[in-house]
Amino acid sequence: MKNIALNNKMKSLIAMFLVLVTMAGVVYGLNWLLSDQFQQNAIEAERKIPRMVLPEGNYFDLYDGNLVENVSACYVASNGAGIAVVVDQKISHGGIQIMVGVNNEGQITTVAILSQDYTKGNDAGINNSEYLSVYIGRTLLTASNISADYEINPVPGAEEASDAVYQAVKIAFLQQAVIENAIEAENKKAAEDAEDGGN
Amino acid sequence: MVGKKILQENPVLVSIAGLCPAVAITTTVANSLVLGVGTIFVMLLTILLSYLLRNIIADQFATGFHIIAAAGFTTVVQLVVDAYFPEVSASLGIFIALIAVNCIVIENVGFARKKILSDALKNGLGIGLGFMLVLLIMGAIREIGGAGTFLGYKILESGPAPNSLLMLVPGGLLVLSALCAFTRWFHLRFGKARKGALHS
Repeated sequence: MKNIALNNKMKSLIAMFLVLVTMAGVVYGLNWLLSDQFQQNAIEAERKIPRMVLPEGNYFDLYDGNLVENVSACYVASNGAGIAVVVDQKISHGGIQIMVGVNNEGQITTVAILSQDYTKGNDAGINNSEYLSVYIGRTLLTASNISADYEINPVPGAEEASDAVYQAVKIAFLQQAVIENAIEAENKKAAEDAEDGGN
Repeated sequence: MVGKKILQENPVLVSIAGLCPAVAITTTVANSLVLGVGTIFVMLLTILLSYLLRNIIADQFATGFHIIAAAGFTTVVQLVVDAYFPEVSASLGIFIALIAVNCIVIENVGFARKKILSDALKNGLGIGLGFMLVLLIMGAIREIGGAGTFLGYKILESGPAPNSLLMLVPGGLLVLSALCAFTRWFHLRFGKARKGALHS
């Protein structure tokens, strides 16, 4: 009697173990089958990230031309709405990654802090919308640094980080000029080629 | 039998079960649809597996076995939703994984061992459809009233402005309470009338 009960228990445990192994196999197989789709989703998600600084852009392509110094990535909106530039800046407390949106009229749309290596201290104070919004709509920054600019004030106690953001915006303008020049050169070459072909 | 389970024995509105997902995720119709279909899928397959192995798995291991089976099928649902509906997946968050331990699933899968397979499947389908129906009604009310959209498409161009309270948990509780109250009133009003008609 006792043996029958024990056998039933063993039978149950073995059946549960086999079900568990089969389930794990099914999940593993499904994961393998869907891996391409997951990869595609990751690419799609990455292409949507720049929308946080350039909402007019639908999808973004990674710019594979020349990048200005400190620019780690540049995305170009496929509908021609503008560009989103990711700038890596270094200050004495650590690194800051800033994303700047520039529309097709050369105006800053949004400045966003993607990451800061430090979490404490006054320099963290730059991540406030009041300070970052002063750049919106600007088409040019002429001063060499933020303390020489009479229109933009640094965040009190976060002067160095504020200047890093200021420089990032200037770098975004430079990157936009680089892209515009590249497009202009490409168009000129295409026009010359067409002319040569005609002759 | 299926119709009775959907309306008269609705798991959410009558048995007051599965309230967490009903309140938490019904901010859009898409969320409700995906969670409803996922729950039905997990419940039916778990019932089927539980029925097929009913003579092998001893009673004392039944609950553990149901959770293992439901967890496996839930993982399949999670992977498919992650792959083809990534935005809905992000919105549903942990609630897809929690299908495995949803009291509606666990309670009804247990009946599969004691019933004929077709009855167990009909019971599961009725309960699952009843659960999905409530999620869809709540999702529609909250999405239209709270965001002015239906399945992501803007439908309220003019008229009253959307009330964002409906998108919050208190809004979900208010909608659920209103539906529960309506169901109770409906049962008292028309249940009595039908009984009266049968007696006369």
